[in-house]
Amino acid sequence: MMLAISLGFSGILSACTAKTELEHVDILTQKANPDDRLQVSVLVKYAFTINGFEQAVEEKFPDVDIVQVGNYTRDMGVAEYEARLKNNDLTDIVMTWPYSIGEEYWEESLLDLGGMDFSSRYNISALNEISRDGKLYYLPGPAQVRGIVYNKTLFEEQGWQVPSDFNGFIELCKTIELSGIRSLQLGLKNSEVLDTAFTGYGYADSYSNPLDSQWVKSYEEGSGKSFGDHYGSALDTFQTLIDAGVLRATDLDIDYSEREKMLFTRECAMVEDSVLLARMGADQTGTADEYGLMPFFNPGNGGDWARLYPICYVGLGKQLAEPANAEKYAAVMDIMDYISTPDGQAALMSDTGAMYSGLNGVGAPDVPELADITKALEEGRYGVFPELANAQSALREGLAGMVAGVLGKSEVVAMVDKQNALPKEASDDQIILGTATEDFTMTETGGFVADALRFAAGTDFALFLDNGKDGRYNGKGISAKFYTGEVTMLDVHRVLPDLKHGDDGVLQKVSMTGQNLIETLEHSLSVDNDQTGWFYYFSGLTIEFDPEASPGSRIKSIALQDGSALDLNAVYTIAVSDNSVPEEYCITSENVGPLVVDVVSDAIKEAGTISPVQDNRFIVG
Amino acid sequence: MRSAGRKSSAKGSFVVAAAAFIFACAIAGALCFQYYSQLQATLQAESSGYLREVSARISSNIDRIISDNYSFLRTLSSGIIASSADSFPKVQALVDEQRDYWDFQDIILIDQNCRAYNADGSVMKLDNDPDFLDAVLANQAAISSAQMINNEERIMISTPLGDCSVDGIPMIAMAASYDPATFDQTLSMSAFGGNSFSCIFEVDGTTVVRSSSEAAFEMGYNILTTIDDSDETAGNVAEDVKATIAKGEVGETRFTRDDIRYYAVYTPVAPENWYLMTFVPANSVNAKSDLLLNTTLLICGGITTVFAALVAFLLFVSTRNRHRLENVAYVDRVTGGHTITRFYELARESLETAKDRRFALVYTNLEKFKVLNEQFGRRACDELLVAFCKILERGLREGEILGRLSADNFCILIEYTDEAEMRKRLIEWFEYAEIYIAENNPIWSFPTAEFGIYVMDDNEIPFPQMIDRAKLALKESPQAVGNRVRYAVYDDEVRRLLFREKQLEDLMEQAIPNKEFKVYLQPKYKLPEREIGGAEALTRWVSESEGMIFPDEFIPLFEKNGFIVTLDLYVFDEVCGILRSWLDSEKPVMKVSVNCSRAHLRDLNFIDRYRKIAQKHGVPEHLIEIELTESIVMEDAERLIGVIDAIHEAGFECSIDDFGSGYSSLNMIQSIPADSLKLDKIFFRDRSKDPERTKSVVGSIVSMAKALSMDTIAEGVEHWDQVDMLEDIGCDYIQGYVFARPMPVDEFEELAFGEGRADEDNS
Repeated sequence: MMLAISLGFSGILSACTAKTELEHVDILTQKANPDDRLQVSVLVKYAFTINGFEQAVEEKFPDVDIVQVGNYTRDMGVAEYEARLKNNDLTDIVMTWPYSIGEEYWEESLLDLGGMDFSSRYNISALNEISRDGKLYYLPGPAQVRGIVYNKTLFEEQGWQVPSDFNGFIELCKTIELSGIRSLQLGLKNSEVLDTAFTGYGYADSYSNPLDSQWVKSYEEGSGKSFGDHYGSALDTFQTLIDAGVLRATDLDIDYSEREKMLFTRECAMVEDSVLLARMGADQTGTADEYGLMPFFNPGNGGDWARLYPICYVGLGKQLAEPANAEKYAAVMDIMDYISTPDGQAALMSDTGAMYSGLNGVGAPDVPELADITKALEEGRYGVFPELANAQSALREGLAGMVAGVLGKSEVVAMVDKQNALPKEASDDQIILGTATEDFTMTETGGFVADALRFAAGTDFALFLDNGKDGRYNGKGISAKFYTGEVTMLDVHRVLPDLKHGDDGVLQKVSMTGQNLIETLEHSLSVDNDQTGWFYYFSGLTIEFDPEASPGSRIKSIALQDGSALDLNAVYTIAVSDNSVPEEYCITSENVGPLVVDVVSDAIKEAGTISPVQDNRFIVG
Repeated sequence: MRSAGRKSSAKGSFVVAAAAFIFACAIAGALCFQYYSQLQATLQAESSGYLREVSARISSNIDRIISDNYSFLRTLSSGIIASSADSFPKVQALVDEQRDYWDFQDIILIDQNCRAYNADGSVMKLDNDPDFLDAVLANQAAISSAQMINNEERIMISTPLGDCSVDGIPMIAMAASYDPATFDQTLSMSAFGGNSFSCIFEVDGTTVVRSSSEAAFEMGYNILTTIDDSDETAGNVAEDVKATIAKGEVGETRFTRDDIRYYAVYTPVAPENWYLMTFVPANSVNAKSDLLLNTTLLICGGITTVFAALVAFLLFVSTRNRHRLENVAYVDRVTGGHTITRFYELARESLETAKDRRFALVYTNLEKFKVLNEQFGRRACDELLVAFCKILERGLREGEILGRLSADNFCILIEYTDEAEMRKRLIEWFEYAEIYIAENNPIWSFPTAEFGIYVMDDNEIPFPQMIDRAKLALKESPQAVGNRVRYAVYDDEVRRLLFREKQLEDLMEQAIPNKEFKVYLQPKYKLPEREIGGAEALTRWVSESEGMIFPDEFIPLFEKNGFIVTLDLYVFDEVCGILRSWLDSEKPVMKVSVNCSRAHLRDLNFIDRYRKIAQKHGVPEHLIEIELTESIVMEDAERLIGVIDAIHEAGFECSIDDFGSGYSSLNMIQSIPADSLKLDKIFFRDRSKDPERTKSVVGSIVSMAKALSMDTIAEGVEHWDQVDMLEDIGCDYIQGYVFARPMPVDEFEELAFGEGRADEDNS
């Protein structure tokens, strides 16, 4: 059987037909590659999938197999991407966001694309923005165009008109509210959405000007300026929205997913989103309504602004240029060339709806949903919404207070200024726990975590999920690796999953029969209705495992660590993170107490120096 | 082997010739190349100068366009200030009014916050170009190389506005955007047959305006990186160019992209941070100069070729002449193989190159080749020699050499391990010979071949001496292999004989004055009386130091070294003395025969010496019979007749000795006027042979001799039945042990005359 593995995640893929001791290599994909196509690995940004792109590329280049390498790690995967840059552990292609991560490692880890033919097809101004000293490490991927998504059908039915300025927008909202329908529902329960309203409607005044970013930079460097000096008018506009009833205190209880349900059920007339959402109504609720986008109407002349939300920046791992990778280099160049064409851009866009491309002469997307926003796009009134480096959380808190009616402009300014002046929020990220003597593979990292759990819980075994392959994430599994050198809390956070589904990450001790252990290893548990691919890293066992096989036929052999056979009828104890094994197989289940993150960090602290355990426990067969 | 041998010497001369040839060509080539290089350098310098000139012209055009644009913009801004256009509609009207004068896309006003407004008042977002914004804020003219305006990439220039407000907004600058394609015509300025093209880039290499020329290659975001990526062998072009640019200088570089060689010149242009780079494919620059260079190259090549041909011709002629000379000395006329001279040379080479191998020198000849010559004629026998040569060559291995010494005598240098192996080689040759005979079916058949083998344990001795030893071995101890091959290895016995010869040679001169040579007489008994009727004088050597030395031992030696002449004359003198004493003492006179070696016969007047000696003793010549061996007959019958006539003339009698041992036929005897014929002992040696057959053969000789009035003397008869038989067939004399051995003179005298010893006894 053919199996894709990655050597220390360096992005070098190889196919092998023999059993592989997985300690030295990682399972990179669970897709079979029967035709032995050239595997090109793509590191995708946080929680992102590029299935549409993968399909388009594989159709265009039948000899290429795109392997998606996921990044489902804490804090939008930023630390993980930076660690990969720092440790030269990149895939062939990287798709990242934001691009500014780990700038000091670019030259070491990424290829300079500035001399490549395809770089000539992008708008120079777009490349100038991301190049450094004339060196170009990323191509701009397409950007999502965002604005105010409105129910076109409803507007027509009600005779409502898309306005042309801020005042018209306020009037429209008032009209809609009078009809008993919420005008604009942003879903402010997700606090970052408060930024959307503040930035979107204050963009013209406080963000659109090139000098604005210079002002923010000096503000953040502690020049003694006040937030109110520059953002006073934006706060005024925000207050105007509140005063007009466009933003309401009740919005603070509505979360992001609820607001789109409201849109599709006519509970509200407008939300903030992209064309993607504008096209999702029928799928979500079966509504026949049509939706369109209008810009953020800012106060003043020419105040119609669109929001650009860059999906990713595309770079290439420097290892591609090594002579041994010549064949792959050529294939990747073809793919990059393809990406740099309207078709390729469309392929990249296919996973995210209508996009704005940085390609010469492509410009604004021409789709009916964007008709009302086209003028802004054509005249260049669009931008990426920035955040404050130090005080964004204070601003959110302040904005929420304003919406709730408990805070005024000057109080918010004071709150922001205060946090801006404070030393950066103390985080445990930089605490040094120990030292790794060498780079771990993902499997070795998983093994390390499982060992830590097993010893902490005093169980027979420990299981810890892998976070998913091929563009799927379970949010419960190992996501990254330890690298040579100091191991900090940040590394532990990187390695452990960015929990979703309300998991706590608490250490659990479960018991199950040998037979059910096998069932668990074969089938895993169902996450997001997906039970086809997840697999575990483990402690206390030696398993020969085929990750490409169907659940039920994956385990080729299994034995206890000491070589003795697994007794199918015996009951074993197993240490796990909560909700990571199917409950129906467990005889008992108890919370042991500490969080997995503490168990792992303590294990490192105790060891002081850690190195991969190479006991051939995980054999890919 | 023959050709290989000659090749090795030919190889040596070829190397010298080739070296001379190459050297000559190299000199001619180097001179031509130097000339070519100089020419090329000159042409390149000219091309480079031209490219710089083109680039400078384009650069000044760009500067002019930009300065023109600034002029238009300043004119417009002055107009706005002068007309107090304080609202956007007024600004728009003014802009519309003047639009025909320039190529700008948009006229933009910039306020003190760097917010940009189109002439119609709509707000637009400027891209973040810090240098541009800094300049605007500093009230300086500025240029931005890339701004997205209305989704089009634009170059933007701005000029300070001074005191101006529009719609109440204080404006600090007026900017104009224009399409980078404005530069296109200038950048595509045709030079080098339309193959050159230019681009504008920032000092860090990022592109500002690309060339739309069809000749242009695709330039990436960064033109310097593009060049670096194009040509891995060019080193770090980008860094070199950047270093020159940092100094604000004009520079040039070369690189290869997609297998096309480019020259590029870069020149600063007016806007700060902008540079112009002009490219031209090397083959376009060099189109004319290449023709010139190629012509030069062709002429140089021609000169070199002619020169080389001349040298080659001279070498050829001299080599050919040498080969001819070599052929004369080295190639045997008859066989086409090596001469003995060549053989010596090659054998020496062979011995030197294969020091670890053991060789033998083989001397070979064909038995009775002369007879064959007689029998089949010269031509056929030459053929035989060629065949023999071929057969011998066929068996040769690497490092073994064959050469013809003379006539049917060949020398072979052969690898020698032991005698058994040698025999195998001989058998092999014999087989080849049989194959040859079977295939070619010649009129002759192969005579017996003899191989004398000298094993070269000492390579220091000269080849001729080795040949002598090989011959000697053959003489001493030949062994038969099959029925057509004989061989003998020079070994210790042969060596002993040689030593003995040397010893005898040392003694022989002194032996005569010492009177060590004793004359013995062997009686000839007349038939049928069976009484002594004559005698043959023989010699014994009674050496003081060595004792009795038999003729078998010293006669062949003396024959070889010529001492036989002295000895013969000495014996003759002694015999004359004996006869004198007999005459003086009035003994019954009888004929005494003496041997005369062939060595005498070289001189036709040899007989004079005999006559003088006879006369000195006063012995009647007819009492002396001079014996010539049959072998002389074979060598030169005519000459022999002359010799016999001379003998007769001198008054001596003459007999042919050893008749029947050689190959002379009875027919030949007819023409030889000898007085008697001595039948060789060979007829009587083997009694087991059919006596009747012997009788018949001998009988026919005897009767033939009788018919010719010759006496017949049978030699070596040892049995009485043979005596009877000889008597029966009418043989005249018997000389043999059956009657008496050779004996000292006194013993003979006693036997013949019944005196001497009796006297002594009596006394």
